[in-house]
Amino acid sequence: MLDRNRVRELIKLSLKPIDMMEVGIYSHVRGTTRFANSVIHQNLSVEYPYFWTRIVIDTPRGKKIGGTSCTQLTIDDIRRTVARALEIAHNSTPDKRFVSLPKPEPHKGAKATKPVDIEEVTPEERARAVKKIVKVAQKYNLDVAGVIHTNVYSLGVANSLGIDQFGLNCDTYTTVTAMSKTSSGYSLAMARYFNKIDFEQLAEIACQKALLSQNPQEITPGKYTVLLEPHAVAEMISFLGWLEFGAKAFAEKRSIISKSLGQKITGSNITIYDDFNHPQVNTFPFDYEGVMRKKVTFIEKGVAKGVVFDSFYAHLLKKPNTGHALPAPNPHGPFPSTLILQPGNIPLAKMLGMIEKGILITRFWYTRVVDPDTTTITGLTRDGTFWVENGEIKYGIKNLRFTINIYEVLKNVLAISKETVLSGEFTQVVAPALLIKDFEFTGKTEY
Amino acid sequence: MDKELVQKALNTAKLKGASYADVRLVYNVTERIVVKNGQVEALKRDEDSGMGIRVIANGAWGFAATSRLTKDEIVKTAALAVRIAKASATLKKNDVILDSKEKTVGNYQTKLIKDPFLIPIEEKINLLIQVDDIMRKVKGVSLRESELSFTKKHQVFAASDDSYIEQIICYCGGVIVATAIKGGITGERSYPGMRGHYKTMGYEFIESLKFLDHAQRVAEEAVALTYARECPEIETTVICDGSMTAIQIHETIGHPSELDRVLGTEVSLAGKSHLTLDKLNKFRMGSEIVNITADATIEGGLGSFGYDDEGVPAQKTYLIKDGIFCGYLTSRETAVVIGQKSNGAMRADSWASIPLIRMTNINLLPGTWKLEDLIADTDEGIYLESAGSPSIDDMRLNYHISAEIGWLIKNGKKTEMVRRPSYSGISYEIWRNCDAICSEDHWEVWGVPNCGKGDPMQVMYVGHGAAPARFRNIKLGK
Repeated sequence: MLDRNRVRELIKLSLKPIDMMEVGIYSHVRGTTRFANSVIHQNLSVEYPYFWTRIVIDTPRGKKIGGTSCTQLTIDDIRRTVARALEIAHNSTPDKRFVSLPKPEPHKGAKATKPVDIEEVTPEERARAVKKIVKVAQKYNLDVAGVIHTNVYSLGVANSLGIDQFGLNCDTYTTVTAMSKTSSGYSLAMARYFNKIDFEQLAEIACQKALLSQNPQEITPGKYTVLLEPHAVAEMISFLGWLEFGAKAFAEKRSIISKSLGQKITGSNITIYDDFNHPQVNTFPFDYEGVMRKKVTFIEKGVAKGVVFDSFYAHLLKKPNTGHALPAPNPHGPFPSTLILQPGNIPLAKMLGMIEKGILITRFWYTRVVDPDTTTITGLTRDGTFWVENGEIKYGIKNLRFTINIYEVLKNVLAISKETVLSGEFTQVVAPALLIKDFEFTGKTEY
Repeated sequence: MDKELVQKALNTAKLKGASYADVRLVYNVTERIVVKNGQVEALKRDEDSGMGIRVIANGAWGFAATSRLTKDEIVKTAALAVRIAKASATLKKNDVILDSKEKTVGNYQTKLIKDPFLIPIEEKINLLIQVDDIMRKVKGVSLRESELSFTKKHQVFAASDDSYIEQIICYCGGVIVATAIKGGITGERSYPGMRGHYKTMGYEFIESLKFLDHAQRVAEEAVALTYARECPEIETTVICDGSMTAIQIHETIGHPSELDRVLGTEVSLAGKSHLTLDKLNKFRMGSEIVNITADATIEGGLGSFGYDDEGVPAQKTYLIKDGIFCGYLTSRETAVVIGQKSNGAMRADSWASIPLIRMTNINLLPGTWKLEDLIADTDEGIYLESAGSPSIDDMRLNYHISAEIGWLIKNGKKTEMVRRPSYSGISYEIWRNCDAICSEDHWEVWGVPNCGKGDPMQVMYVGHGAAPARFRNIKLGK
């Protein structure tokens, strides 16, 4: 792993007296142990460094921009990569819309905040954790599969205007899928530290779901009351992150939020925001342009409030930069680093009791956008879908295809759990469970 | 490429106790150019290089990778791979067994006429600016975007069985997209294929796409879509264009034929497959006219190569013959389970990734129809063009696929344009309902540059040979 001094040294070496220049070094040491059929079948450790530079040349007709990257961090390779970026920038055409790379913020403390204690996890430790999971599954005569990722990251970003940031971080991510001949159950845990994960408990949750959903029955697609567990909620909310909460869709007037600021777009019980300081999330405090992240509220009590910005879109729309740049160039524009759906006040354990007839859903799978104009998505349930009657799980049901308009669903939320869980595949989502009426299923499958 | 480093890795792995080792030393260079609304939005060149070392020790797998290509670092990484394998071995049921394979020594290089990295950047930008300008002139277009991307991958594969293979593969492709937004309705149209088309060819492929000839039509159709009514929700006959047929193959035949899925080793993320071992050579997956091959030897296919990442030569095999499911995509380890040898489908997306079973070019063999005759032969239905996003369950049964644009067919003629068409069903039912496939004249190997699989996710280049095809009794809409 690259330390602060090495990153600073390489960045200093890279910065040139050019009109504007950005340099970044991201390094990722990843350990992954995958298991299936109750044995370890994929097990790896990879160190992946990534150096990038963005060069901006001022011309009377606009700014010419070129970018390069490499994974070799020798002095010669970095010099060559920078020289190539300069050549590319010269060969580009001017962009009239580009104003400037970000400048350091006037207030102090815009340096990487509190240092994080880094935990490196060995392959032997990961194997021992898998053994704990397998042991629980064997108790129930179930097969088990899943993954344990352990990651250590460093990120340094600097530019010729004075931005200078460095951070270190680590996290771990574990999933367990337990399987009988006719059913499966799932659990997921994300945390900064490996030793905070209770592997036996994770396995127990997945196993209980697999046992409860054996010999699933078929139900007819249609509209049902559903209790979405936090991982299902997280997947649904993350699509709002893609479609709605970035400045690019806002600037292009493609998002509903771009046409509805100040208007009510969901039920009053819905508040969604981005906050890297939230105690359950774990991200760098600055973005890939080295700008400190700010808290941004997207929806407050059902009312559309705002979106996230990077330096380009902040200049374009004359708004404050919220520190949500991805590495440039990228097709998405600024992107939320975290999505937090504000919890309610009902204990999760009591929510099942609120269902007269309905469906309990563990997670969604292969969710895709059907119509971005209406935030309509489709996907399937997976790894634990249950029929609930009079507040009790009656039996497992075969998986269903849902097709929903996310904002319409968020108008139909009957109850929100007090407890929240950190989830999310591409962005971190802090999600409670949601009890929702009239959730539409449009198809069924055979298992 | 450094033979000495490769040998050092293999020797170290052996010394540390590996019974088998293979090494991939990879150097990738990628160039990407995006023009949006007349401005260069992205112009970037990425170099990505490093070594991945895969070993079997104590009968289990280990893998480690590094970008630091020094002898000391390679020794450290090879030793780490063996240590990881030994950790894996603490939780195994059986030793890993590979199929028997002779050592392979060879070279492979994409046949290209024009190296895309030698074409001046200005020329490539200029093409996209011209495309943008044509689309800009169409009234009602809100956003224009066009992109070219090129990757050249230089890889050395070496294994402890003395195999040594060097490959240089050039991936090339692009897309143009026009978007019209009117009254909260977005019309989006792209060319070519499924939001872009990619091949293992040189810049001559970009020239063959003739972006300038299609830009105006693409922009006009985007605008027209904002006036079109939504696709009706009915059961009808669907004619898919080649790219739609390609995505149907990808989701409902390609992925479920991967033997690692069938054996459960991808269950925690990608899922399993309904094509279980008992169905091999018995299960009717399609009508009698449905014949599907996996063919990595097709010149120019995006899933073409000389050797896979286990050193197995590229092959052509059948997955479906006369509608009957008859073969899997396999690796050296999984092939043993069904008493076969690998058919060469193991690939990694990077030096930093382990190889997985991936589609090569999965192809629906052509039929005899001309497209105009097929439409004329259809009393009522819909013609769909340009695949949008697919969704399918984790056993690869219940699918939902959307298209950019559709035209209703009435009395053998394309009539009204409809927007946001989609269809859904059960994967073997649609193929059993396939009653016509267009001829070789309409057949194209469509490139999918973003096939995802694995955990962490690997993104792979795969291809699908397909012509327009007709499917009966399909449910349109949600």
